Amino acid sequence: MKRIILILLLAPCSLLLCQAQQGLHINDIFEGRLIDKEKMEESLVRGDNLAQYKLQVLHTVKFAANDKERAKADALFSRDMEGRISDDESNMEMESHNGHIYYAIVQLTDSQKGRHRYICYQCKEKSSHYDITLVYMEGKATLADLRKSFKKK
Amino acid sequence: MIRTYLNRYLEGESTQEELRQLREYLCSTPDLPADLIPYAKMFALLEEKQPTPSRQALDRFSAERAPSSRLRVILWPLSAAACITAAWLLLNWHKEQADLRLGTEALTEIFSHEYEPEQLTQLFNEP
Repeated sequence: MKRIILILLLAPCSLLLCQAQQGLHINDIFEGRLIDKEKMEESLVRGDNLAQYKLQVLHTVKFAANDKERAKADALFSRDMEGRISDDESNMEMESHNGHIYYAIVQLTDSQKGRHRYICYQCKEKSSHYDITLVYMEGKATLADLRKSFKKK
Repeated sequence: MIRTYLNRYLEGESTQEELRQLREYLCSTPDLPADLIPYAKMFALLEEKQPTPSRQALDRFSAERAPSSRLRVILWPLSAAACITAAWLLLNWHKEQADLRLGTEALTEIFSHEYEPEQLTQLFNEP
């Protein structure tokens, strides 16, 4: 009986720990399968704290990558980009050079009505490595809302 | 003489004998001068014996106030749990705020993307 109660208590906790971006290829990066989690700067925010941005989930990781890791991150993000709504400027923006993405903001298709999902990527080339930032977010915010909230005037 | 004793009493200098005589005079003289009546009342008040609670009454009082040993056993873990929960909530709130700051900074950087000098060099040197 005690075991059943314990399972019932822990079940919601395990659900909370499930990452929102599950099912995406970039989940490998968030899960630390490309770069060790200890070497990444991670933030995960859910709920009321994001209300002012009309978001429900905001998950980011920042890390330094070598050539190989950058190429892998690039490839994983590109594969997830296949799930984008359209190439229209209202749904995505992207800059790439020589087959590598420098930055991208992409709205993904979503089956849940009223919820928008976005993935963002930024790669900054430094002298000895690349600084990569990866973002997953979901909520009611449109891309126009996000631009308004986060684009420097 | 009595006024001298009274003055010495008020100065805190009277002896036990002077005090006894003063008390006796103030408490037993029927026609006291008007200015001495307040002192007589004061002495009468000091002479009144304060009621002392009985041993049983004291025991009953402490039994009503002190929590039972069973209640104490329950209260200690509850207090500890409340403290741990409060500390956990505080730490969690701090982490959430730090995460929110990191997340919004990352988004601001992406939405206001600027090329690094190395990237600009590469872009401009493109054949």
